[in-house]
Amino acid sequence: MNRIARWAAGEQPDGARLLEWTVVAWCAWFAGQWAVQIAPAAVLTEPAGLAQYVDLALFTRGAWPMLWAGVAWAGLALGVFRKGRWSYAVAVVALHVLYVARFSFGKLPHGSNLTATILVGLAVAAVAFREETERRRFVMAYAFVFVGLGYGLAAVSKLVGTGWTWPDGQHLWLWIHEKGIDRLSRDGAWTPSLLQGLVLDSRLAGTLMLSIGWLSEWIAFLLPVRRLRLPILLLLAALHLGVYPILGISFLPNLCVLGVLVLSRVKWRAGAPQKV
Amino acid sequence: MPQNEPDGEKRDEGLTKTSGFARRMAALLVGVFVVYAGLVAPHEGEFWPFSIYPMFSKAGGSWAKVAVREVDASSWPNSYSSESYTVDQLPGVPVALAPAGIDYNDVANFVAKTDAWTPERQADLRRLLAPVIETDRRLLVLRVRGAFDEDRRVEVAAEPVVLVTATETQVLP
Repeated sequence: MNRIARWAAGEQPDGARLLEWTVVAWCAWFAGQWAVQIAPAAVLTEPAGLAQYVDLALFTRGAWPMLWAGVAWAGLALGVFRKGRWSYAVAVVALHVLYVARFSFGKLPHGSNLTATILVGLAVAAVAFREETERRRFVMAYAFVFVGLGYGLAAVSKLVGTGWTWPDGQHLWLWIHEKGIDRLSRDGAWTPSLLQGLVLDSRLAGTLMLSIGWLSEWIAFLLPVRRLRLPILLLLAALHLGVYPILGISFLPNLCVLGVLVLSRVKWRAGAPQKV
Repeated sequence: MPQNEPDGEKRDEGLTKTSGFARRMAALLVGVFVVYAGLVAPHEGEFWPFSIYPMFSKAGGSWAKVAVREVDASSWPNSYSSESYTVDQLPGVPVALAPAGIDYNDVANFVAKTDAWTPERQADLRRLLAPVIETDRRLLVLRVRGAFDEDRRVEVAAEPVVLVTATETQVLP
């Protein structure tokens, strides 16, 4: 614990407020989007999260989804303007209810997890610290630890789920076709793009891409190491930018968070960016 | 140097405060980590917002998706009842779900998770597809499966599952 404390003592608050606004904006967007989507899709077949213990079917009907969204929005707004220590915690609970009511078909999307994990950090900071600087220092330390942990766990999941053969380029062929069928359902048509065609023609190209992506996720465990942060963040951003043209998955909220964390590692003085 | 004493005291106080703050920060980080692990471990790796991020973790495994097609009235329903199609030979014309405000993943996951098409499941499917159900329109819902064949080539096959019209839902054999 002492080692962690010594490490934590060196954390700087730079960028914390921008990170907070980014997370709050995305969470407000999620709340509205899920509330609107719940009504037509409200079929609780595979309950997740709290819905496994509490019957949330009621909250999928009528005005309930919008009411929960309202609670989430109020919590976020009060939290960001420092009104009420528990505001962010209330927003986390409301967003959890909206998420489990929205996604109950057995497959859970992960576009919101990283951003909302940082919202949990904001909630903890608001309850635990009264001084603004302390809050911000905690939030930045928390963000680097849990963003790194999230990507690192993704790497571990792949190792556990498949083994060391995970980056085999043939696996990417299967996923490209899967995403192609998604595109077919969504838009009514699909033809592979140039880049997808390249990967479908070359197992080696696919293997290289998957290997670089997987390596980036493993390295993310080192995100708490301050001098490595900038290259790791850039590598993770490149991972998302590379995934998009191949599989059509943007993970825009994650990219925004990574972008803000990159900015937090750079200080602008007299117009010239310097590494922190 | 009596004037330095307050500075020294202030500095010591600052150090103590910082170290107290750092210890608290460390305890909270460890605490959140324990809660994270405690929530995802018994819930198959998922307790929003915490997750072990298992997407794409099972490489090489088969997948199941869905395609919705508008089929011709004259051939409904028998000619589509038991055949399996390749993606290039799907019957009818495509129905794009996104422009109608339908999340295609919802339909795909719902169809993939449905083994027995009970009246309740049929009603739920109709609710999901409601924006594209119209009078005189026949919608064929196909379950599309992808997997490697024996030569490790990707094989994608679609099997008709349900036919939906404005008035009825027919489960195909």
